[in-house]
Amino acid sequence: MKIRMKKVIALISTMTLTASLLLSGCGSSGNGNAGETGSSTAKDNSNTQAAESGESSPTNIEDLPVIKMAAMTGANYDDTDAVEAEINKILAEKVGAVLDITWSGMGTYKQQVNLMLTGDGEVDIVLLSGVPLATYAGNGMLLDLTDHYEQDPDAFLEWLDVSYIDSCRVNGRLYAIPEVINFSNEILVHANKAMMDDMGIEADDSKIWTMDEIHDLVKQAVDTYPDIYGIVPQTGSQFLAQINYDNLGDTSFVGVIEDHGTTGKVISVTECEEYIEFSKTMREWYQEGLIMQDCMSNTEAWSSMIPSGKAFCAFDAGAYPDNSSTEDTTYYNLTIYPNWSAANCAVRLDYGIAANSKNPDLAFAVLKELYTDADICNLLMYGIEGTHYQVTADGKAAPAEGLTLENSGYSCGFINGWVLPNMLNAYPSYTSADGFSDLLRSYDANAIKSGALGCVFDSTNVTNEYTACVNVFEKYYFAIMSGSMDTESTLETFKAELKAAGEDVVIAEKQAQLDAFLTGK
Amino acid sequence: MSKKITPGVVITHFILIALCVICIIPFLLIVISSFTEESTLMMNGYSFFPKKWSTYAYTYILGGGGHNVIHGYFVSIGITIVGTTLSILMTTLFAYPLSRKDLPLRNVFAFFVFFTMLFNGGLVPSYMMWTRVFHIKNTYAALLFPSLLMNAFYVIMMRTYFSTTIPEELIEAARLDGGSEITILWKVIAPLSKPMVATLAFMIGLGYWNDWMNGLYYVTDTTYFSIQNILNRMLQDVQFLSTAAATQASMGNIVSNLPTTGIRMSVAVVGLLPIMIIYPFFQKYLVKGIMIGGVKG
Repeated sequence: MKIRMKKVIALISTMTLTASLLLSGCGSSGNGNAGETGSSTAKDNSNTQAAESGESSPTNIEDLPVIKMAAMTGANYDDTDAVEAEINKILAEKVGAVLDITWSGMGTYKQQVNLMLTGDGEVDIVLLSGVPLATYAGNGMLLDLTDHYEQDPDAFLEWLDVSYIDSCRVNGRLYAIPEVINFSNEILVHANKAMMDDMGIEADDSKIWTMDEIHDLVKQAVDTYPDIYGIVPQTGSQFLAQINYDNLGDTSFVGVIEDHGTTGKVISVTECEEYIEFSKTMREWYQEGLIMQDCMSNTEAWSSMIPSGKAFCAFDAGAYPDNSSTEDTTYYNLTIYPNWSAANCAVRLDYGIAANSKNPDLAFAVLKELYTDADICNLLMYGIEGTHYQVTADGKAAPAEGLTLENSGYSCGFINGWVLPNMLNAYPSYTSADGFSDLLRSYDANAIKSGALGCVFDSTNVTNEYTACVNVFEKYYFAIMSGSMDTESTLETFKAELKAAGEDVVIAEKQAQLDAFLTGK
Repeated sequence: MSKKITPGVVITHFILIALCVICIIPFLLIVISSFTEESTLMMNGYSFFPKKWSTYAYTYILGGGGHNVIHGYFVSIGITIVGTTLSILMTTLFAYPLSRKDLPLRNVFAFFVFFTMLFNGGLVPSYMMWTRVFHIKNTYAALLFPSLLMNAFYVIMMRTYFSTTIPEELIEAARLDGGSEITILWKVIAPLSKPMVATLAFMIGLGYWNDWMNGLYYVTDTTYFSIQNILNRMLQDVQFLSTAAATQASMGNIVSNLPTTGIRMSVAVVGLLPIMIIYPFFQKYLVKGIMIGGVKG
């Protein structure tokens, strides 16, 4: 009986295996052929169609090839279809294709895009965020854009510095175009405006505050308002991500380069002077009671605690080319260190084209319009003029009469315009300063640039050691920085555990990648 | 009949009441914070006795501001009803033949069920199959079919129930009376399996109601969002926007408007409600069904 059972099982498993092999073999080759022929004919058709309809009958929008785009959003808009229709009127005429945007929630975007990129022509233009470009390119998920780009680089160079575009190269080939946003951030303190005014302290725009001045300021605030937190973390339990050392886009700081990444030498963060110095200062402040005592278990954001008067200030990094906009807001921005561009600044958010796009040429043409056509940029940002937004007398966009950000059918640009390709090619938002676009561009142009600008660390070769180091990092990095643990002794433990986790291997790999990048430059 | 109050009874009651309170308190806190005024929530944190009450969150999600919540609610209800019915039908129709000893190739079929309990295709292959072969992306089918329609564990539970509680003689008797296989299943077996069907219906229904993974993977069009998808998306967005990467990208002049804590809490309450209402009606079947189905036959 038992032997018979075994035989039966063996037979079944062989059958299943053969069947699955056969099926998969047939399936893939069949699909492959079908896919290829299908796409090539589709391409031919679309090209001819584009040429015809572009010239003769632009009304025939339904017949044009559809370029699918994945973008992220923080809210649901009711009128996205109407806005798309308006954009498509322009695109049909200029490119001979229409756009279909899939909006995904920000939190789930990364996962959904990773899946979409495995699909069969499910998406053409895609916003990339949160995954190193080298990973996507290495997996063959993205189209090589070099040739497309080089046909007319000036269209993009008008908006982007060449060093930022070159950041999106992997092994010399271009795989994405960075978004036109801020590329540099300053380290600053957000301080509650009402309390500052109440204490009679001036927040001069051009002033660079020293740490001693910040100390005295917080001390005064905590003495004046005993019920509030002095300093709260940047986000959740993360006290402050980084100061002036470069991490090559590695959010776990396993190996950093000091002095804005200019030293060319990767060292352990536990040996980074600036990190140690900052942590020691914070330890003193913490013991004085200036820092939220249970900040390691905090879940709230400074952006809700400071305006509500629960906290006085927080460290943060961000681009604040002017402070005039803070007239409407509830906090001042006090600069501590001037703005600088980190190595990964141009690859945090960028637009690429999926490798299995059915119409790569048209997709790139559409992408180019999304960067360069001011009407399309305005539509993407604020929706339809008159319906969703109006242009104010001083040339800024504001929600249309009677609309608020909440009840408007489309308000992407007012809420998070930074997800779109080129927010500077549209009207500035009504909340921004006069001449915001120029202001931001000169702010970026004057920024200190990282010595490794464009070099992004790829941990694939050292995955095991890297993962082990990340776990250690999560245990100590922010705890030490927030001053809630004894600096000297915890730093020693941090160092020892990182070494045991294989930090040296990761640092060596990072150094090798940096050296290769610097020599290739 | 009067019961004696012994110290043992008192202690048992005390422990059970304590456990009960531990279970209820978090729910209560969610409900109360959904009725707390936003600024109070911000200043004083969660509290059982908030200083200021407000129904703003509910007027927001039930009114114009969040009509997708209402829509998502109906999607959830529809999917749960259709999904549970389909799933029960499929599970029964597979489990019943498996329980019959005279089924040809019985072991082969049993192996198919058993195999999927140990191995699965993984996310990316599943995704490619569902989207390229079956084209379910952005349809209601995406919420119904992947992962949830048939669960090997439930099939085995049901098969065990059939083979242990329903005597073969009953089936024989029915056949002698001239009943076809369908009639036997429908008129004899089904009425005897009420506890099992109710238990599975409850568990499957809960699975459908709570599922957000299918929505995350296979749906990008908000028309097809269920209530859990909406809630998950809200939470994930808030989490994303509070990361340093996002704060550095959004420039100082741009306001981020997030669903407030109160609104998130109220969506959670709305999502919980139906389950809390249904639970008591299923409770009497639950224990019975699992007990019997759990006995290895």
